[in-house]
Amino acid sequence: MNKKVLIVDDEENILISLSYLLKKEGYAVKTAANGKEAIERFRQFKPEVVLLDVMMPEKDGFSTAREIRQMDETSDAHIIFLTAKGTSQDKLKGYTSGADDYVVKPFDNEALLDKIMDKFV
Amino acid sequence: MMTYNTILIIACAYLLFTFLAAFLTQKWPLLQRLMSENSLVYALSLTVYCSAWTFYGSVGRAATTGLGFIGVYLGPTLLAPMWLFMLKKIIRISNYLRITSIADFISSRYGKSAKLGALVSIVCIFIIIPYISIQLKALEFSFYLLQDGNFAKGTSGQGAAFYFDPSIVFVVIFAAFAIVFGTTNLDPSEKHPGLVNVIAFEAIIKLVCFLIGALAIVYFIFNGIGDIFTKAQSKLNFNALSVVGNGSSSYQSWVIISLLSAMAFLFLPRQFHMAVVENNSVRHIKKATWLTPLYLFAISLFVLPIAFAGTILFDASIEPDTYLLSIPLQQGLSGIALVVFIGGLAATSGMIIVSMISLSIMISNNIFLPFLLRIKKQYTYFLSDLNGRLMQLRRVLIVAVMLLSYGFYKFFSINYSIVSIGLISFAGIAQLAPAIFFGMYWKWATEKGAFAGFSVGIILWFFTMPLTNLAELGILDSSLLTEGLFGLSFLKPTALFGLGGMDVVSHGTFWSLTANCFVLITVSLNSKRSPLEISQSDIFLNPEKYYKSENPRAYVFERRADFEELHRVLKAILGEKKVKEVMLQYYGGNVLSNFPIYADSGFINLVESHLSGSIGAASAKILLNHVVDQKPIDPEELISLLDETYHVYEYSQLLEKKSKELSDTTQELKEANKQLKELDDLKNIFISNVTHELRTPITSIRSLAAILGKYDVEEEEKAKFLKIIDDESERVSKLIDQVLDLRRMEAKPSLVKSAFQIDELIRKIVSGFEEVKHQRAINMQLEPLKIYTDREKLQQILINVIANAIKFTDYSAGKIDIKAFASKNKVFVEVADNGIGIDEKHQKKVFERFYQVNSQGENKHKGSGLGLAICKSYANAMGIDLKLKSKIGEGTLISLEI
Repeated sequence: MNKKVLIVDDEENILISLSYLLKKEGYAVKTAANGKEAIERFRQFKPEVVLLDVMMPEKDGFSTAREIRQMDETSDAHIIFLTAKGTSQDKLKGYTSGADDYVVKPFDNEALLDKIMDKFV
Repeated sequence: MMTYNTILIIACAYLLFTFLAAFLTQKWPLLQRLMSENSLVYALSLTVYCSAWTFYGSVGRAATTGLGFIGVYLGPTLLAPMWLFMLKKIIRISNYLRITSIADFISSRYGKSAKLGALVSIVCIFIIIPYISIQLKALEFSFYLLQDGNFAKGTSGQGAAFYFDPSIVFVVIFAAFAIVFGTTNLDPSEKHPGLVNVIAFEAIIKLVCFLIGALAIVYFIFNGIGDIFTKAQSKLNFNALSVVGNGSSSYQSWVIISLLSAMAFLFLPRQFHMAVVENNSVRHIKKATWLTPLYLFAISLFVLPIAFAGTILFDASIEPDTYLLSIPLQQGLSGIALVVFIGGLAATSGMIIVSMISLSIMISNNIFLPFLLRIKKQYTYFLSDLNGRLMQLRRVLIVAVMLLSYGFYKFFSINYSIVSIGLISFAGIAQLAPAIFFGMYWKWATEKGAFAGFSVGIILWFFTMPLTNLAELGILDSSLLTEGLFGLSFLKPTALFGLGGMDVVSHGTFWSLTANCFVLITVSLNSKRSPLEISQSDIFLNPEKYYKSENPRAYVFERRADFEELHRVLKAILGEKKVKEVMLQYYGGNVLSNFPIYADSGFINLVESHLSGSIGAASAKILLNHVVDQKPIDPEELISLLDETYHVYEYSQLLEKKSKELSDTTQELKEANKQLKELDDLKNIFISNVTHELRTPITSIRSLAAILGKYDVEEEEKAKFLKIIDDESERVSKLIDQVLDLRRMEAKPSLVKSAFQIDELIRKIVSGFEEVKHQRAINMQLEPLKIYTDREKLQQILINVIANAIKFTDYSAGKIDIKAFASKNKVFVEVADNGIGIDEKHQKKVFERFYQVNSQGENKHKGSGLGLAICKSYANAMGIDLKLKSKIGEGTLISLEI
């Protein structure tokens, strides 16, 4: 069974490129364009890894992450933030809201793949 | 016609009323405060100037010299603007030094000179007593006129043989008033609120009564001013009266009288008393500078018509001074005559009462006390109850002044006209002016100079004026006039040194004032100032240095006194309670339980200042000489000390100014800093936004580029990816353009103007949005208007505005209305949407750089925060008024006024 990854970003082009990349690497991929959609998808899809954009309209990545964690306490899903903000303050906020890892945009595809792989090693 | 008793009762009733008014204002502190803080009361109280002279004398003078009467009012009026700095300076000095009279003022300036103060006071007695007596004459004359209606010359007053002279009745009442309200000072300063209020009140009575009499004559007895002038023209040599140039010397006398009056208005003892001693605040001067002249104008307006009316109705057997009374009486209007009489009584009583009070203060403080206090026995006597003794002395003096005036009237004044005595008094008082002016503006003026100048001036005044008058009346040998003193023709009192062809007043004023100034200057330049004169003149020249700062005099003279003894003196003046206050104020806390052995200079000065306020500077100095030791000081040292204090003063003024400037600058800097901080915050947000905006497309580009390099992507996918890379690259470059726009915005954009159709431009722009508007409805109501401006920039503004409207409306239900129309010579473009709107606190800021309403996290509407700021800067450069109206949830309206 393919390892499942949920990609959440409001930028359509990023969804396109990331889902293509991950599919090519053999993951099962679902996408969501905002926080609300992401929670729904998470419930159905039960991904092992979530790539979560921080700056999204209506519900940002941080609160989405918190909700995911609250919703399913048993889940050990790996949450990786994708963000265009790279300050240490942002990182801290990311970790406290339940993130496992942190990737700054623009990222190196290989580095991202490595971080996803971490979950499964 | 009225009986003696009726008139007397009415007159006494009026005077009783003024008593009551004065009593009430002194009784009720609230009323007292209300009145003493009122600049109207101050302005009116200055019109104590208008005495019986105004009421009767002016008409008489107008009847003989035409407009010649007006100089008396013109002088003060022309000088009034100068009160703002000159009178102000006098008041500042007087308040600081607690000056009690004009003699005290002069004596203070010249080293607290007892000699000078006494001379001035004595001269004032000689000048003012005849002046008061002539007022009594006018009063009595008007009384008899009213009583028997016999207004022909020389027959008045004979039916009254069995009664008291009315003038003695009145003068006693006046003296009583002066004693009750002028010698009961509740605090040691010479301020009498009850008196001031009554004088202000009488000012109104005077004016109203005068106008009633005048209007009755002009409009009831005659048919207006025109009627009087026509009739006068046919009867009299009209031109000779109404024109100023009545003979070659008339202009001269006009100028001289105006000059004398201007000085008398401030320096007559009663005027100085009202204007300076009773003044509560220099702020009151401002109103007086226009209100008092206005009053003088009102009361002199009808003088000439009345004089003409009298000349038409009467022959030379009627005294012109009485016209205001005689005309109504002749016409049977005794009611009107009674009103005029009351007005005259008000004018007389005010003048006499204030003169009595100011004279009594002057005589006690500058003649008696300096003399008495030198005597050890008297010193002890006065010190046992200084205030009480002082008031006793003043009361005695008021009675003495009353008796002297009455006596003078009975024995001498019968033959004088009001104006002639009045003018001679004015000229006498004018002799004080050089000592005052030089004292305030020329620091080298010395006591000797002032004394000599004043003496010479007064001697010449006496020789050329009162003496001439006596000779003319035959009281002195008239050969004096024709042959001169000792038979020397150059000593003729009317033509000194052969200067003939002038009237008596002009001639006398010219010689006395010229000699006065000349002697003052010459003697001053040849004499030295004593240390006390130096320190006092410093106060008179630069009062601001003193009243603004702490007492700098304290450090000029080194003085020492036994504290117990000084305390005793102080207690005698101020009373137990006030002394405690003063001591606590100066020494603080535990002085009452633990007296110092010696009092220092500062405390002695404080005591002297309080003392001066009661008994005058010269007396205070003499009194303190008994208890105070003063270290002698070298004049040179003193001058340098004073210079030093002046530098300190100047420096502290400068410092004050600088520190104010500094705090202003600090405030400005704070504001600027705040703005900078805000701008900085916005810039940080902007940078964070821009980096976010740059990272997002680059993320796609980088990721896709890596994918294209790593995998063997199918053709279809590859094309899609390349398109994305292309789009995102464009997005990056657009953003860069916007950032560059920001740079350009810093400089003023240059305009390229052209004429074009606004409606076409809008249509073109809207068509450009066809792709992005989705189902939003864009309605246009465009009038075909041609405008002349920068097309390129207007297009950018409109693109931004319309793009915003699209951005912030729902993609399906959005409605955007664009209107272009002309109104009031202007073209308006309005873009209204039904989008999310902007709340009030953001509305002002949306035009600021980097400002974005949406907070992070709900960043649906992405942008750099520059769009509207750029629009605004373009609009400003083009003279377009860009306005925004919005309500949250209902939409936004942006209007352009071109």
